[in-house]
Amino acid sequence: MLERLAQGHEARITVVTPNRRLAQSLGSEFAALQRSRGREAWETADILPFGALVARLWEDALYSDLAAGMALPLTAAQEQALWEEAIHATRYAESLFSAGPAAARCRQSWQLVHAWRLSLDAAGFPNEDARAFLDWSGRYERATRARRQTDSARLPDVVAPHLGHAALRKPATLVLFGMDIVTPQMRDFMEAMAAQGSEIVQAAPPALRADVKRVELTDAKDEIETAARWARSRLSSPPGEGRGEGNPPRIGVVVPDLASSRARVQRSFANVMRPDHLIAGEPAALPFNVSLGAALSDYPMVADALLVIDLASHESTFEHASRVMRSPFIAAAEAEMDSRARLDAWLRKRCAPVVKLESMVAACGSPHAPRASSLVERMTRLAEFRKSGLFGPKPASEWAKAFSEALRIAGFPGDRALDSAEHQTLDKWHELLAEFATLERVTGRMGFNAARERLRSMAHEKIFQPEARDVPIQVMGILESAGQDFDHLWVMGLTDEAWPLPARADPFIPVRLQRAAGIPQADPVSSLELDRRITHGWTTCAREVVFSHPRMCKESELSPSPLIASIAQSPVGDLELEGFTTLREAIRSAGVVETIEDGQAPAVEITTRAGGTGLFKDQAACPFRAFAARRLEAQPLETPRPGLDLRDRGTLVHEMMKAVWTRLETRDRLVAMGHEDLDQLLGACADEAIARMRRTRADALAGRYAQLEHARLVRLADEWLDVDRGRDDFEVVALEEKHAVTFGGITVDAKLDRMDRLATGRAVIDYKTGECKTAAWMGRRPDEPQLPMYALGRNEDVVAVAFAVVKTGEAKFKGISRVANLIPGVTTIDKDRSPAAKRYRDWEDVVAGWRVELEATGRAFGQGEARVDPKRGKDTCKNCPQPMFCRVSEKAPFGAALDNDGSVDE
Amino acid sequence: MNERARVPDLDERELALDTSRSYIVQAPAGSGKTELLIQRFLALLGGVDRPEEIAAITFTIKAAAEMRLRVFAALRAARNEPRPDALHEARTWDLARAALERNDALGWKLEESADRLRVQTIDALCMSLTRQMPVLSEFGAQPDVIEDASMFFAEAARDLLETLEEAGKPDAADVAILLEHLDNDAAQAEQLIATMLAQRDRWLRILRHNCDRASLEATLEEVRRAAVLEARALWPEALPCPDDGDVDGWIAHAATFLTAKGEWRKRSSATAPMQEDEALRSALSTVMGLPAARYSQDQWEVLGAILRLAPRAAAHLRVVFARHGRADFMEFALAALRALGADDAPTDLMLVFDYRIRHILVDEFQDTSHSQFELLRRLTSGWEAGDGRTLFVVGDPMQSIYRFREAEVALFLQAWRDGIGTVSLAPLRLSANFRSQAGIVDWVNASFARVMPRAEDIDGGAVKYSPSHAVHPAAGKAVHVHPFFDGDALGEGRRVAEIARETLAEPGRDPGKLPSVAVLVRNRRHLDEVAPRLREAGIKFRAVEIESLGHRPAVRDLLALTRAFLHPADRIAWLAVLRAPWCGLTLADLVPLGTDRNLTVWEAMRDETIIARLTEDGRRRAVRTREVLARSLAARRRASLRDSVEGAWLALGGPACVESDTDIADAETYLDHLESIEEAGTLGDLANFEASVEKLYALPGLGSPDCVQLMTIHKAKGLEFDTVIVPGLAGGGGKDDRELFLWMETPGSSLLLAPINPAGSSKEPLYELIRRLDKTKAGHEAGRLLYVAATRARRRLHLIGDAKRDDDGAVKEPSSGTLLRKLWDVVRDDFAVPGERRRQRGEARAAVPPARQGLLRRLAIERSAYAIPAAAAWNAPPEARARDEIEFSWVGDTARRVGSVVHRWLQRIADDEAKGWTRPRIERELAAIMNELSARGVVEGELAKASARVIDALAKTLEDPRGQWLLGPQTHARNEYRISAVIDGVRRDLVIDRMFEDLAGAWIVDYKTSSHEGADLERFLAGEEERYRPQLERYANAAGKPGARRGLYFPLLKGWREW
Ligand code: SF4
Repeated sequence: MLERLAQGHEARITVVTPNRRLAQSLGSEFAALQRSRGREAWETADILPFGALVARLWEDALYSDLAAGMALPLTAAQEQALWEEAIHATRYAESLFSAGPAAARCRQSWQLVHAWRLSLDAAGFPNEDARAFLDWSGRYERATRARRQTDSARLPDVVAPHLGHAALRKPATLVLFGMDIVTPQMRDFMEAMAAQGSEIVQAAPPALRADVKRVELTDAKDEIETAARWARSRLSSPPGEGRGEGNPPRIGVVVPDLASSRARVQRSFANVMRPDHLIAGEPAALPFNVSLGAALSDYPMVADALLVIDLASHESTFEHASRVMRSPFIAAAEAEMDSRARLDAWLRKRCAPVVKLESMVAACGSPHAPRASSLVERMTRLAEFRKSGLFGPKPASEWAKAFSEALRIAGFPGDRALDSAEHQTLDKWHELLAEFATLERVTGRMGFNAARERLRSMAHEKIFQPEARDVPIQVMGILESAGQDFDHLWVMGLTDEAWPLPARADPFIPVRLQRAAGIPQADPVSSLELDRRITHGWTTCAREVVFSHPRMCKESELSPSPLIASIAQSPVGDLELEGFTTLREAIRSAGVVETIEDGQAPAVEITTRAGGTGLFKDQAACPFRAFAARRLEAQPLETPRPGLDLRDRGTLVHEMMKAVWTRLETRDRLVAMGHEDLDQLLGACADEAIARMRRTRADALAGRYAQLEHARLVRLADEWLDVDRGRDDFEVVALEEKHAVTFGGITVDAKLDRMDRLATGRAVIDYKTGECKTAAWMGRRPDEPQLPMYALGRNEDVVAVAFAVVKTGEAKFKGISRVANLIPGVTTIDKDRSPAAKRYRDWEDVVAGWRVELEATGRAFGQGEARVDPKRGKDTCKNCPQPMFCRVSEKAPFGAALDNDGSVDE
Repeated sequence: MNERARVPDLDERELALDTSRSYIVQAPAGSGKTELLIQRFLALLGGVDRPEEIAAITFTIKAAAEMRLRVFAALRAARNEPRPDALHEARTWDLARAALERNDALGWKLEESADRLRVQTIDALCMSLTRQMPVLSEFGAQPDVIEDASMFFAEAARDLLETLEEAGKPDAADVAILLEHLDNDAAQAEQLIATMLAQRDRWLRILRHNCDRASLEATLEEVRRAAVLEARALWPEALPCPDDGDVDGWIAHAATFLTAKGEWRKRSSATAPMQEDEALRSALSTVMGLPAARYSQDQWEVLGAILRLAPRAAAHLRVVFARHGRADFMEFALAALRALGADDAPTDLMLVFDYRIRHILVDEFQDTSHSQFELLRRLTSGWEAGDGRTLFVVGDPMQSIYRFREAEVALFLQAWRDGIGTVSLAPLRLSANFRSQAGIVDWVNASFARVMPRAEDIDGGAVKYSPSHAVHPAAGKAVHVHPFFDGDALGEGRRVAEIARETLAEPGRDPGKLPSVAVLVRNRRHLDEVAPRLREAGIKFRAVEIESLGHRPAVRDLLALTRAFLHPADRIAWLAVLRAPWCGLTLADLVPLGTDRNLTVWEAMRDETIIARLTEDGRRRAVRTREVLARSLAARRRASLRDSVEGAWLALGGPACVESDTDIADAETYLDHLESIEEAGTLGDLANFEASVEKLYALPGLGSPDCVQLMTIHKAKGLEFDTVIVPGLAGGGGKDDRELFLWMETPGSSLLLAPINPAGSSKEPLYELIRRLDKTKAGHEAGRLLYVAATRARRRLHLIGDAKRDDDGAVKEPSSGTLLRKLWDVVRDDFAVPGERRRQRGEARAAVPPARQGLLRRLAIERSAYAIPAAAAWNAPPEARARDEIEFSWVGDTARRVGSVVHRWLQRIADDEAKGWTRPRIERELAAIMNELSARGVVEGELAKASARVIDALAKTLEDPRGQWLLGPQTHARNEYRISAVIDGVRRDLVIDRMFEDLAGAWIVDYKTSSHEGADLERFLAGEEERYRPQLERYANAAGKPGARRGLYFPLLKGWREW
């Protein structure tokens, strides 16, 4: 056949293939033949898939006097939109999960209906699913008819009647190459061609006598790796006849289910062909190509373009906004990389999970915000453009323009020089926008959200792969392998479940109808026949053929496909693989690890205050934690959460109580106050607390939720005041007061929630909204040193320390005092029930103990003590953000000794 | 033969092969039920019209694969091998033979199309149903499966809570009520709703009941009365008590005898005898805890809100699923149920599949959930005895241990009693044990009759013990109990190691093989002291799904790298990267890099004044790391995230830093996982990703397969070992979470519901009442868990527990909820060893051994140099360019499309040698041209302008003498001439617009539809010539006419350049 093609255009031969891949591969083969004959240039052979031939003939008609009458075929996106419209017009739409995927399925069924000439007649469609399809397809068909449109499923039937027209250029000879399935529609079309004088010839690749082996490998991963090593070993073997001396052989690898394992295949082959490809400076030239591609929306550049459009909508999630801020595809991304990251980290503490562009821009304007001026300037302009350019219903072409403008404002695609793949991706994106614009022919005007969703799903549907160079190794799916020939072929994954392919009838068309029409996928026996033919095709299309199957998948044992089981199994050794080392192994085997002692950081240079009492808390819990958090500022990035988190809610309660006691001052006043006055006072206090909170968390504390929070604060405070009312007389003498204290040479700010003057002295009080125990002040390395620090730091006469538990239904004091009965719930140390209290005789003893511990803790921090020593093992580490930094799991592997949860026998 | 004689249940096994009847089979541990299922399957094959008519449902994919494998093995044996002599094997052979005959007669080709054998999990079955019924299942098209949908549950919960702000919507009011009830704790509300969604299949069913206040309160009254009647029945006749109907009186009455904790008050002579009666105490305690007869106003308000919100939450979840195009298995099950149709209008599967399911086999039926049960009911609806359709369910209620996955053992008991739907099931009970030696079987028989409840109780999930008979004879002492005291986990760990060592010294079952040993625990943390002790003793072990992947140092390092790569301001991650072994900076060197909080660590690393403050060694390390990271950051988002992270890891020497090969495998698991989650080279939600890593397990050690296995009892289900060691018997199970609402169904199947306790309130009696029922069920399951553990053993069983003693040295009863408590009656005497209470330790032992607290493990970089393995040798051709770069310019879509249409027309006109083509004729083609432009994608609004341009270009050409010459008759003329040529080693396909010969010789012409506004046309054209010279050069060479004249024609400009 290639010989006849070589006669050039005069011979008027056209070759039709079942898919594009085969057309390309025949084209390459033809080129190789020409080059092997020493030619530098030749007339291009006319080889194309069936669909392309039909489209070409249709175009011929379009440029002839038939033009005015020709229906226009829809683009894929237009088809999709019309199907969705058809579905939405029916009662099914409401209950369906989502119309988009259903429409996509319908398009497949619609192809089948025409390719196999199935009659859409209600009598043959007795079940509900089929009836729904009947309904939808009726609507779809009418909609396209009204607009004089057609689609790829019907195009052959549109063109066939006009084949006689001279403008439609028909070949003298039409070769059908490698067609495993000829549908009735194709057959009719060919007959029509024949009637117009084209000679129709069926051709198949010449059968080779192959050396066929079957190997079993551990699992899918092992299969891919072994196939890659095999391909590498074959790369240097001589090519078959006709491929030209010095050229590499053609190697094929067939991977069923390639779509889901594509990334792994790509990687394994790259690792084997060029072990250092991931660390090589410039992108490596690799001798293989994996067919199929990824969805366009999965390409980072396109994904980020979509995010920019997202950001320009009414509101978007913070995570999306954050990705835009960190995107390399926005102008000045390189110059501002660090400052944008800092800005992002700063915003994380202040934003809600769903944000409006305007309020983000406003937040960035704060004098405390890290500067990223180019970014902020662009976001500001984007916010302005949003108001003018992204409102109201518009036709798709207007949206396409508006989206382009939004991207232009954002400085898309950034300053970094594009590489070849990115260039092609950008092109594809522009094409997509252009195709999107043409949607207006079927959809009319749409709002911003509809437009954005449509564009997004188009990007998701569009499978794209940047073009690569000509390579000797082709990795492909089953269907693409049909008809190609190779020097060496490997087909993997041939388990009994995967091959023959399970018969899968189309769900929208009655199975009986499909069987009657002879659709192979609809019937196990005919599907088996087809797959048997394909298997046979493999065994004759190369000189060497290897079939492989995995033994295991996860924990399940698998069997070889019955279609290859009769081939004797060969050991892997028979494949004659070259020895080969992975980069990982090379690095690992050369590695030398040393262990040094490094638990002590340099001493602290004391200049200013080192922060709050939390420093002592950290140091006591785990020295490394204090080192990390207090000296290296190792704080976690926050994740915006809806509503308020525990800490925010605690802060609110603190603010509330502060407001209340700022107003009340003494118990006398509290007791004297009437119900109504108190209610009013509490309301005002809650207003104040919430207003303060809003300064940092405006988004999180709004609307109805804020009202509920207001009510809660009033309720809590009211409940709490009952406790205060039940006490002896006191006066609140300090609220939220800061005070410098020094222990072990380390000075920090101790912040006190409240101090009361009692008859005999003062009580320091800490509001708690969560769990708390007096034991947290006692023993070595106290868990909650704050109150002791404050009590020791004040020279006033402190006679009690207490937690004020402000919790719904649990309002009470907990604490210890010098003498009994100062405050309800606060006891002397000998009455304290925590086991740790046993070590103290009396109040003075407690106070002395505090001083010893705090001095030691401060000294340890100051000296740079930074050992990894979590006080209570797992429990201490549980809420600590540092484990990846401190490497605790390396020091206490596999739970060894980490069981010690500090629980004490009762 | 001898053995066969000892099989006590041959009759039952034979009955089970009667393919005309439906059965429910109780098959205790070791009874060989898989074999029975296979025989039944083969028997059924011999009688159906299509193999697809039989559906076998297994619990796991692994079980399905195994069953399929064995069926095929049987078919192969029957095809290729002679009939075996042994009775049992011969029976299988006969059945397989009959199946083959059927296959051959009806042309199934079963042996070649394995898929026709429908052996699958229930999930797979549901998916096959929904796939074929896209509309009835309401999916539209099959979504992808997501195994762990917890983040979707949370998303749906958030969506629901957000309706709070949609003023006026009824949901808003309900959300407000709920939040208020929960102290406005949105995070807790979110979590509760998410948890609720995870089990929606249970309550969606419940909520179809009548949930109005009156009927619920009627049930409440019924429950109250029942409790009183139970106490009344036990109450000593001699003593006074209130009337039966006076529930509140009884509550007060009970409180006079019991303390608030439900213990007897001080003895008095009158009550002393009564106080021996534990059943009475328990009944009184129940009475004392009874809720009020009516819901309080608040309770009812919040319950109402929850009941309205629950289905809304499920609806939000569907939206979330649709948004992501994925759904969990439960959603598939619900969809499959929908697809099967309501009871009164079932879907006719014949129309969907072209065959009907006529026989169903279900394995592990004891772990069926409500929705699965419902599915079976619908699949078999209308089946009747003797109509040729059968159901065959096999399981062992004594091994039902999957409550946490919604398994409901009551369903087995119910099916045993009532059948399933319209199908009545004949019960069969197997009793032969082919697994364990008689010593074990006898001990299990004796013990579990006491561990398990004496009486069956369907609603309480209580399963009675059913004994087995050992087929294997006794072989030495089978069961050993090892007592420990007062929290001696260390001692337990050491004992496990001792037992393992002694056992491994014994001969195995097969010569040359070690005996298999498993350490089974209820909870992973019970292994915390075991693994280190085994390691110390030098015993190799595999910990199967025990350790969280996220805790492995190698994985943490990769995670640090991932986070650092994603966010330059993630300080912890960056510092971790610097501290990790590949960089290994000391604390002293970290200080200068981390001190300034206004710089990112990455900025500090690039600041030479800061770098100068490091030690020399630190500087070298930091700079080396900086170089690697600078390279990957510069190329960020070009490769996949996985490749970027792995690339940096390799370049830094990550693989050199790991401790074992397992770490490398774990690293791979992590990277694979990263790849499966990443989107477009980045992560959508880092927190979710980190949580998902926590849920993965590190690989078991890569030791030999016959080393000691460590696993949970759940994981061991279906496995067997020579020796089984069960430590940690005194440990608790998992934690029990609060739920938004609880319900119970009374034996009369009326419903009782309770909302969660309001924030801060003490336990509400109604909620606690139902919770207690749940706890009872959990208690029963604990007993069954113990049964599963004990019956894994073939030869020896070691039970290790820990009891507390009081100050007098007396052993205390183990706390409730532990396995030891369940077993206490049996092993109490083993714990009666003299001893004293161990005093508690003074100071807690340091969690990290002091010697390791300050260690830094790091790469000795200079000594770790390696050679890069060679790349495959091949001659790469130059990179193919996507197209001729000069064509690349983005001239605007419409202009480009106008260009292509003009080209196509010029071709057509030239084909006609321009005969008869005039401006008016062109103008008449307006409609066609518009059509063509549309087809090329020109949008509506631009059509008029674009078509005018096309016409303009064509007409101008026709009017231009040069155009007439060009398109007119010429010799050897070719239009759109396609040639291929090898240029710079690469094949290119070229299209020459026009080629001909005239007196001047050969011409090669290209059309350019460029336009030009303004003056100086000549200069523009000169520029164009310059630009396109190389292109035409190539054309001329490729066409083999290097001497040809070249021409550029500009139709819109009537411009011409030639050379
Ligand atoms: S994770 Fe644990 S060991 Fe590490 S710093 Fe935090 S508390 Fe210390």
